[in-house]
Amino acid sequence: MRVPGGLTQGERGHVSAGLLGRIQSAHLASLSTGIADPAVASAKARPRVLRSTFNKLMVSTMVLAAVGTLASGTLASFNATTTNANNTFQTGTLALSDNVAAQTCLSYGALDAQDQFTNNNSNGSCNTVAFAAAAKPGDPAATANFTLKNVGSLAGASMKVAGSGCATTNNAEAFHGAGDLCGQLAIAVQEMTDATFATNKQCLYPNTSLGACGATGTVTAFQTASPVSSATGLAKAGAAGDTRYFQVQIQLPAASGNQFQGRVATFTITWELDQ
Amino acid sequence: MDRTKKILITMLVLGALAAVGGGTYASFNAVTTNPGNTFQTGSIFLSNDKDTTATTCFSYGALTAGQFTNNNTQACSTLVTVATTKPSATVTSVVLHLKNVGASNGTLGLATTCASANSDPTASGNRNLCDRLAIRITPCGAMPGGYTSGNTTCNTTSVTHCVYSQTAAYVNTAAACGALGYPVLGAMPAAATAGSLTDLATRTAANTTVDTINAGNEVYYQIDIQLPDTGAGLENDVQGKTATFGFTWSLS
Repeated sequence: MRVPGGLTQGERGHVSAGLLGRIQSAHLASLSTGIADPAVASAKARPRVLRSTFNKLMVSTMVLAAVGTLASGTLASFNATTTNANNTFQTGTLALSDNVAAQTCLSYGALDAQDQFTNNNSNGSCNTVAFAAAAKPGDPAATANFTLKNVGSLAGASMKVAGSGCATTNNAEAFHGAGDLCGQLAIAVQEMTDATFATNKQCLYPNTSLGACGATGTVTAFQTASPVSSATGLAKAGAAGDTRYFQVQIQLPAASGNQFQGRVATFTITWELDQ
Repeated sequence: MDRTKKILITMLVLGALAAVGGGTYASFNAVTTNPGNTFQTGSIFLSNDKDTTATTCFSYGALTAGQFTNNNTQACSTLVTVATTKPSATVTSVVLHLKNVGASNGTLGLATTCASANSDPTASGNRNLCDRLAIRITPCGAMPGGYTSGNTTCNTTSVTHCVYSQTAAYVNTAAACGALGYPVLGAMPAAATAGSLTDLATRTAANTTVDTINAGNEVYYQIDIQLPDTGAGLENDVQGKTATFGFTWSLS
C-alpha cells in the first residue's frame, strides 16, 4: 500500500517518520529505475515536469532578454532626451478668381477629396468670350469686362496679362477672304476704376499710361509684347485692393479690306498673379 | 516514554547546554571588515535652449526632492514658427544650444519627424510641404565674444562637421555642410530629395548618431529652414500647407 509522499508501508519501517524521511524517500524513488508500478512512475515523473516547466521559463526569459537586446541598441543604460516639437512652417495661398460674362473661374479649378488642387493652380479652362459676331470695319469696339480677385491668403505683388495662340480661320459662310485677322484686329487692355467699368484708370496695352489707352496695337503685336505687367498686384483676400477691374476692347479698323471678310480670330487671354 | 520522546528530550538538553556555554567557546579568532563599500551611478543630462535664451530646458525636467520623475525625457521649446509665407530667399534660422550637464560622456542622437497638412480653408496644393522645405543643421564654431541671448545665426566658418545637409553623406559627416537647399524637385509625384525635411526625417527616423558630447561640454547648432523659390510656379503644389516638425535629441 502506498501512502501520500510516495512511501510504502515497508519503507516506513526503515526510515524515520517525518518530513525529512519523506523527502529522502521521494528522492531515492526518483533515482531508482525500472519501476513498474504506475503510481511510482507518476511520483517519479512529477519532478521532471517541474524541471521542464522551469527550463521553459528559463529559456523564455533568455529569449526575451536576447530579443530586447537586439531590438534596441538604445535601451542600454542611461540616456537623456530633450524634444523640440511642434515646429511649424506654414505657406499661404495665391488664388485668382476670374469673372467675365457673369461666369467665375478659379485658378485652382476642381479640388480633390482633400480640397487640394491638382492643376498646379493654373486653370486653362475658364470661360470664353465672344467679342463680336458678324462685325464689319468701323463698328464700335467690342468689350469684355474682367473682374480679377485674389481669393488667397497672400498678397500678390504683380499681375500680368498675356495674349497667345491667336489663329485666323474661316467662319461658317460659303465665301470669305484670306486675310490674317490676328494681325488686323486692334486690341486695348485697360484697367477700370470699379465694378461699373465706366471710368478708365490706366492702360496696360498698347501703352502703359494713366487714363484711356491711346493708339491701338494688333492682337498679334499684343502676343509679342506679352506678358504685359500692371503696376500693382492684388492684396490678399478680404483686404482693400484684393479686386481689380480690367476691360479688353477689340475692334476691326475702319480701313480693313475685303480680305478680312468671313474670318474668325481665336485667341487666348491669360491673367497671372505673382507673389 | 517511548523512544521518540527520549530522543527529543536528549536533543533539547544538549541544545540548552550548548547555548549556555557558547559564549565562552571563542578563544582565538581573527576578524576583518570592509565597511563603506559603494556603487555609484553616473549621470547623463542634456540641456536644450533656443538662441541661448535665459530659460534652459533640461532633460530631467522638474525635480522632486532632487529626483526627476520624467525618466530623463523632457519636451522643450518650439524652435521654429513660420506663418503664412511664400517661396523666397528668406531663410529662417535658429541657434540651438545643447549641453551635456551630466557626469558621463555621451553620444548625441537625433530623431526628426515632419508631417504636412492642408491649412487653407478652401484650397491647398497636393504635395507634402516637407518635400519642399530645405533644411540644414550646421555645428557652430567659436563666436567672437561668445554666444549671447538672441543669436539666431552663428559662426559656421571653418567647421569640419555637419549634422545634416544636402551633401553626401548627409547626416553626421566629417566635412563642412553643403549649401542649404535641394536638387531640382520634379513635378509630382517625384520623390523628395536630399536636403529636404522629408529626407532628414527619413534619414533620422530613429535615434541617429549626429555628434559626441563629453561631460560638461556643449554644442551649438544653427538650424536653417527655407522654402526656396525655384520660379515658374513650381512651388504652387505646396500652397496652403503647414508642415509640423520636431527634433528629439538623445544623449546616451
